[in-house]
Amino acid sequence: MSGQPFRLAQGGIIDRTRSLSFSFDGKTYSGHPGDTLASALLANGVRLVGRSFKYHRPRGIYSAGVDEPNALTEMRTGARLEPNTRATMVELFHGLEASSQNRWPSLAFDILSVNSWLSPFLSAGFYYKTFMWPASFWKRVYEPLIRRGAGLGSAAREPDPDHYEKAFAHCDVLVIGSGPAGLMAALTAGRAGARVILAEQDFELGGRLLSERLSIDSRPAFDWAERTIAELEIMDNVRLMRRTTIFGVYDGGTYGAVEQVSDHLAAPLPHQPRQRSWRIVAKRAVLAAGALERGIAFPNNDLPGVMLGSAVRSYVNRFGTAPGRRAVVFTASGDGWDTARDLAASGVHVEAVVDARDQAQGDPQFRAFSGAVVERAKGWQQIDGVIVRDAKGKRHKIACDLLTLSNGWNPTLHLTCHLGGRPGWNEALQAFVPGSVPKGMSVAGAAAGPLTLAAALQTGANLGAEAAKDAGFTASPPKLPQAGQDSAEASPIWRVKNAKGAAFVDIQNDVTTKDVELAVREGYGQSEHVKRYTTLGMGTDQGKTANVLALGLLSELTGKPVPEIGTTGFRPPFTPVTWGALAGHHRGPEFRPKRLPPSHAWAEENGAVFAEAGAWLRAQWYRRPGETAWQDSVNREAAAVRRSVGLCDVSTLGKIDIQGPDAAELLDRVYINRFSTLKVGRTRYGLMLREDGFAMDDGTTARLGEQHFIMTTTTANAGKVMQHLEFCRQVLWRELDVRLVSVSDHWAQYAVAGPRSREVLAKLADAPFDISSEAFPYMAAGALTVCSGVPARLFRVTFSGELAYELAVPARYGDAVVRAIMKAGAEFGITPYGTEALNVLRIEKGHPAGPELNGQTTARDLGLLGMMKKDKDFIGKILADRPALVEPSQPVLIGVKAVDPNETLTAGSHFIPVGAMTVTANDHGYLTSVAWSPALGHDIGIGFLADGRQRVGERIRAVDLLRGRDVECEVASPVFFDPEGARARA
Amino acid sequence: MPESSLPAISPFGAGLKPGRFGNRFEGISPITIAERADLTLCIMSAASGKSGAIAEQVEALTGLILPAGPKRVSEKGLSLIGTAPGQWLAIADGDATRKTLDKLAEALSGLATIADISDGKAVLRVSGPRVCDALAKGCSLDLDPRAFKPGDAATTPVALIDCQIWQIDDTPSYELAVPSSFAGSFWHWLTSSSAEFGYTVE
Repeated sequence: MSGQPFRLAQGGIIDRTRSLSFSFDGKTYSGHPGDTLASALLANGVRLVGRSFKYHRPRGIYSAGVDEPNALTEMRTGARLEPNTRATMVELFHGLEASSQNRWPSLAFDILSVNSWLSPFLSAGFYYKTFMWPASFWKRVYEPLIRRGAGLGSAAREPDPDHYEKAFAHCDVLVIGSGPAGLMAALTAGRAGARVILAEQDFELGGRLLSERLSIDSRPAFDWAERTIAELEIMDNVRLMRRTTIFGVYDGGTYGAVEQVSDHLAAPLPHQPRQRSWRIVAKRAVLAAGALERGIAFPNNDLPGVMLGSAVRSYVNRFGTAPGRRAVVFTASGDGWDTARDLAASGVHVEAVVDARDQAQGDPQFRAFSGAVVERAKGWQQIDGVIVRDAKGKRHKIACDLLTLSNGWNPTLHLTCHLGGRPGWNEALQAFVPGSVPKGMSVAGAAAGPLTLAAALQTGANLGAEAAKDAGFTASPPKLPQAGQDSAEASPIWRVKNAKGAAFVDIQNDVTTKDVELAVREGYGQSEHVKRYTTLGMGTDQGKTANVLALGLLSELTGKPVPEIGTTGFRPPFTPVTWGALAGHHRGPEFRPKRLPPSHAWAEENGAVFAEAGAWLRAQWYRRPGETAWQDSVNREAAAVRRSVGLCDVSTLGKIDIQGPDAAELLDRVYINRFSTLKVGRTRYGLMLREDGFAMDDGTTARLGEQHFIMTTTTANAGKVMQHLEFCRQVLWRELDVRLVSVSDHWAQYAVAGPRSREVLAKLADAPFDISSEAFPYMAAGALTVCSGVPARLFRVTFSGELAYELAVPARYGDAVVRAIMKAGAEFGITPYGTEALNVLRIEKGHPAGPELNGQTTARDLGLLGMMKKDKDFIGKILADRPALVEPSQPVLIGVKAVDPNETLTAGSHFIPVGAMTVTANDHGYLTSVAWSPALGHDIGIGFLADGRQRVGERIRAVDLLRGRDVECEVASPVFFDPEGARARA
Repeated sequence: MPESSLPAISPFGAGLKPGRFGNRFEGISPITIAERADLTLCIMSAASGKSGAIAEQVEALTGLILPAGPKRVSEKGLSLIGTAPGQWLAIADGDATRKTLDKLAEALSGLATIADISDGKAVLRVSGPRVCDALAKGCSLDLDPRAFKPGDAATTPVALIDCQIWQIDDTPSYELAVPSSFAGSFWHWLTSSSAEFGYTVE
């Protein structure tokens, strides 16, 4: 382990009593709690941390925060590998493994750094202009080549082993940022009694107070921060959220946030998520996100060792780390002089302060150049000197290993733009400041523009009090602490003119001043055009250090003021958000909540293979030992129903309890057929239409009492039908006195079907219930008890065409009753059957289901016109009569079977006349459902065919272009099995 | 409901085992979860224009003031929760109260219809000092005592599942009713969300 050669002897908010071991590119180093990966690397003298996106130039740590464009690393390994992690935002932990990106074979010797030498040819638009032809090369040659060369880190190949959460929080006042303005706002609102959430992306509260040698009330400002944080900590109504980034602003005072719960640990603690995404609902918000410092474009401004001045102050003051030993300060603002003083106080030798301003307020302790610039930085894999051009044009060569840049600040106003707000250009600050802000938000401190500590405390206090008042509390701004003097006034320069070499505007995306000049020359001079032409601002940092620099440069190049060139807007997220955090609990099997019928455990025990039907898991078939193909199971099940008896869980059907004096009237109005004539104790099949006349859903409805019906719907449409009926009742026909309750989950329901079904149920029904066909005929419905006292309902309805019943019991008995039915049926060889066998049986009977009720078919198409009662009104009646829908040529439901019984039919095939071309003009309809019929021994299908009823016996082709099939078929009645329906009435 | 010899199975199935789970804790359980399997739940729906008459009957028979909004009133094991205009969830806790509910149904004949949904809902009581933190992972309601109090009720999706929630006391304790077919997914979400704090299943 090395000895942290660049660690200062004292100072900083790090715990020097403990050491943390970590590795970078396989080499082991040590740091301290309180370090970031970036500060620990610097303390160990690691300057080169990555290669750039396009030219593979050597890059170092540039900032100390969220704006970092360069120091992107791959964190961790294996399944937890995470690319593009900003080293400046990674809290150091013991055992941290990080590696550099975009280099091969090693960081120091990177083959593709040849791109850097080729850079004169790789200017903006190079790829668009060069890789044009041949077009066949786009996908196979150019794209893989470019993708390999460019780009950032690589993603993990294994599933993420960690879990993520989503959560909601509510507050009166949300304070975003915990610098002096944020702390003051939170304190004021908190003291007023408001529920406050203070969100801070860093792991320490305090913002710039952690990094600056400022004073409050004549003591170090950090002391004031500590006292304030301590007071906030003990307030019940204040919640401090560290490691939490507010990434987006949404309607109605909703804010998106990500809390990095365990990112600072090698692995999450037991039961702890890696990250948690929050939706914070706030009555008011105070944005106190501070400001981000700007760099300057000059040749080689991307060399490792070139850093923002504010970052250097952070490393020195907060992390007790010297980013170099011999520094040159290049500044266009008062900040540069603070940087020089802080460096000097820490023992770093300041070689020179180069101030671009003509009349800079100097500091005699430094060798100073006024009205001067750094013309270029020199060095190979890191900076080793600069060429300074003084006010008279004379050049001075100065050796150094650190160059700091201060060029004014950009307020962190991103969140003010998320609901469409546009920032405004402030000429005095030479920066964008918040323009229109989202409703309920106010902006305090440097995020609003004013940069002094006094202004931060003042606006924080005022806006915190105002926010609390708006939320209904009595608040008064507290006595303001006295802030010491500070000044960050800048007269920024955007680039150093008349200098040769690559001067980077967007360091992350390798966009230089030349690229911007080229864009202007080629007619892409508007900000949005420059962005797309050069990719400026399109990196993972979204141009946090680049955008304003580019606009300033464009202004210079075009002679237009910045606001005319365009403003930069921002969309969520402020910083990248992982998919895991957005998905939270809902991934894998929990992607959506599942519905399970009460028979689920029993079905699992019996080899059920499940399929998702909406949210439900339904048994498709029950695999028996020895059955390898699904069709084996399905054929066995379907045959067993026809031969003896089968059992199918139909609990998933929608069940709606309809009660009230007008219950029958409601049904008459929603079904095409009549229910007011249905006798108590009887069931009827019904079809309901949409307003536009197309079929919506079907099912059976039983009359349990004069004013009491129970409706069943298809599984898929249960929710939709309930909504439809509630809409009819609450909106269309408020005069009807009728009440609806969904009882779908209350009842477990089993279809017992087959010639022996009556005998099975007879064994279960408690005396004195009489199940004989005379007492309980086809379509009867009744209440009874089964299995010695379980309340139940019995319906004699059939979907299979066999003698069949549906038995409903309260869900708690669902498991026991399915086992009881199986026991009672054992002597008859009762066979559980799934949805596939159910499908086979209903196709044999020509009963329409989902594929036929597909939203494009009418009652007429389905062959159910006879059911329609024209002497009453019902939903869909008028529009079902539209001329196009009643044309004789409209396809109607028919059956088909292949002429060659060994042929297979496929659903979705289109009907084309024999000998006709396979073109749309010859399309006579389509096949919706097919099955191999165990009863008939060959494939059958039902579908819709023009003039179908008249064409029974004709030949037609079923053409499936997708699967390359063309099968000659004979048109038949859709009812293949037991056309008289005698079996159901047995 | 007559008792049968057949076993009644909880919709939470095998997941519901008493004990302590998740992170270890000392002292009071951060979260306690208990199934309310013993409840009778009915949806009581008013006939057109009969809400007033129902309120009179309810008060005469039970002394309860029928809530006109999303509130819960409770007395001697009988609770009434406003769930929609003209609709209430009536809950009887135990056999004696079930008889009161039957009597109420009789008295309301013609004024309201009663639909038994006891088996259609899976009900949990959750309580403890960290329960709100766990619920916040799927429930968008503000459960802070300033915003939601004992006697308050709401219908809201929780972890994408339709849920009715009402507060029992300021321990705080809540009861959550979800469609019984969703019980497994709901249980999985609730226990995953509680594990960080540690929880007890009663």
